[in-house]
Amino acid sequence: MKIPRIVHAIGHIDDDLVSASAENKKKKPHWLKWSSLAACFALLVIAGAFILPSLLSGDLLSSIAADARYKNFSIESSDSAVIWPWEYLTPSEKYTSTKIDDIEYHSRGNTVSETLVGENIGIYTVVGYDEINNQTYTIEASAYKLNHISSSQFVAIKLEDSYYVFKNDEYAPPNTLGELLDQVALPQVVTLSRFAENGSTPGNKHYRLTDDDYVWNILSHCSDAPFIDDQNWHAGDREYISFTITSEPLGVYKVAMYITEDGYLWTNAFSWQYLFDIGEAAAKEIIQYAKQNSEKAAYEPYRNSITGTVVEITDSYLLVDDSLLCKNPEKGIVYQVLLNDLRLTRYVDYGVVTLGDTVQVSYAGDIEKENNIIDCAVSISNVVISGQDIFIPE
Amino acid sequence: MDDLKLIELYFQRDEQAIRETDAKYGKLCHSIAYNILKNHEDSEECVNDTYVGIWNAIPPVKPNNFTSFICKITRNLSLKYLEFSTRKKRSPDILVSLDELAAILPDERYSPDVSDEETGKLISNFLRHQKEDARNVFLRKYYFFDSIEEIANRYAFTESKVKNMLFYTRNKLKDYLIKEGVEL
Repeated sequence: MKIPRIVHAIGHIDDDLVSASAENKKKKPHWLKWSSLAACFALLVIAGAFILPSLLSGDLLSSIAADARYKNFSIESSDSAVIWPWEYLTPSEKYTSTKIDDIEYHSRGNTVSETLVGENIGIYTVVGYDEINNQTYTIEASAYKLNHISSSQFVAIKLEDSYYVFKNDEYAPPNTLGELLDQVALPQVVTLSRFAENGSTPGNKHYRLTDDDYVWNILSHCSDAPFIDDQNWHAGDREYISFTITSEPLGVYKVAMYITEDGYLWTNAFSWQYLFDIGEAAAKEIIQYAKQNSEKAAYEPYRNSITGTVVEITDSYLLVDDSLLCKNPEKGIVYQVLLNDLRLTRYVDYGVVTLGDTVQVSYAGDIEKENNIIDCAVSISNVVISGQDIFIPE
Repeated sequence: MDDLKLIELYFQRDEQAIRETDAKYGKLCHSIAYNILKNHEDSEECVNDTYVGIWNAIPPVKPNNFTSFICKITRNLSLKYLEFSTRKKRSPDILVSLDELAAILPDERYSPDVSDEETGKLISNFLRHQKEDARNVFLRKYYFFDSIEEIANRYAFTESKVKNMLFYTRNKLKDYLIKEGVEL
């Protein structure tokens, strides 16, 4: 077989570049950034769909629609990690790191309401990097404390008119749960509500806790619970409950906190995995309380979304028709997706999404049912639909 | 054993040099060969040929960078083996990588007056101006021929991100080579 010429040319790359790449060490497992995983999850979620256990295996998503109107089909995400030109980035995507009192903070990409923001702590330089043109940009922005959180861990940075959460991402875990609670008043910034038993897939049992005060009360008595530095820990076959945590001040959306019957508290809410040995007695008490003081709840996907064909594009909206997926095409719904956010308009402006594409639109909040209007979409991705009954026109 | 001592052993014609090389670099060499050939027997043969090649080259050659030196020999031998091998079964990964690269500079019909060594220098210069992550991902894919999955694991990226980085780096490299006068 013929080897392309450039392959031989690459063989002449300078020695120092080759050896640097050869020796470039793999990241240790505990350096696994949960924010990256969250981004991965964000790409992989389907409305009313069962997500198969292959979720963490890569960029392939296979799902079966649960909507009664739909045929059996699977959805595969096509390459959707687009690197956007600088002008198509949101403020928090543009400016991602800052240094305050020698601590480096990185953007978590999420906004935080003004009511959760505390005192101004000064103006600092926030740095951004244009990956396409390899250019660094800086901007001067005001930094603020966040209520109930030590500014050594999290701050808010005001970019344009919104406040964004920035976190100290250095791996320096607290020695005890008490130390973590001193840094971040979790009862004030996290509401424990939805939880599931032994996993959070659609097949597990899901509940909604009526009041989380008692759980925090138990945890406040575990302040001596030591941090366990075990990178290989995972819940595995343990009996446990997993709370779903969304917190504006922490800049996290639907991350997890496990309480296992054998006495561990595990969470990925802090970029790194945090594991504490809270003891069997406390863990069992929390689990028992949660089960006795909750009501059954339906499974909730990571983010809702609709899937269909783009049938019209205007300056202000997209029309997405899902009849392709329906047993009876006449029962298809045409959704009007409002292009009211740069995170959406850029897909159209940059030509990533064009007329006739099959797309999946993820949204926060609810669809306006009467006219099927989605005014809270957060992302669009091109997908490939396949299945025995689906005919995809060339 | 550090590389200087290792090279010294070659200069002394001490066969311990090969055992020490194998202990230190055997795994790396085998992974390069296996990434290209996807066959343990052939890879083993290429790695052994690499050791023979080093034994014959040093002296008189005294490599400044032994890691790069041994990687280059293994890569060249494995590619040569792939080029002339009659095996029908080839790794889809390597075929995709070669196709992707062929789109940048396919063969001698393009810029015949620019040598591979000169093009290599241009690519080095281009890579030096890329972000460290993008540079390493490019090298891991097209120098060491790691799979997308391996690169994603190595740098804790998603596979989509790796593919996207490679796509952009390839396009930028092609533009750069054209700008530098390589006729494509």
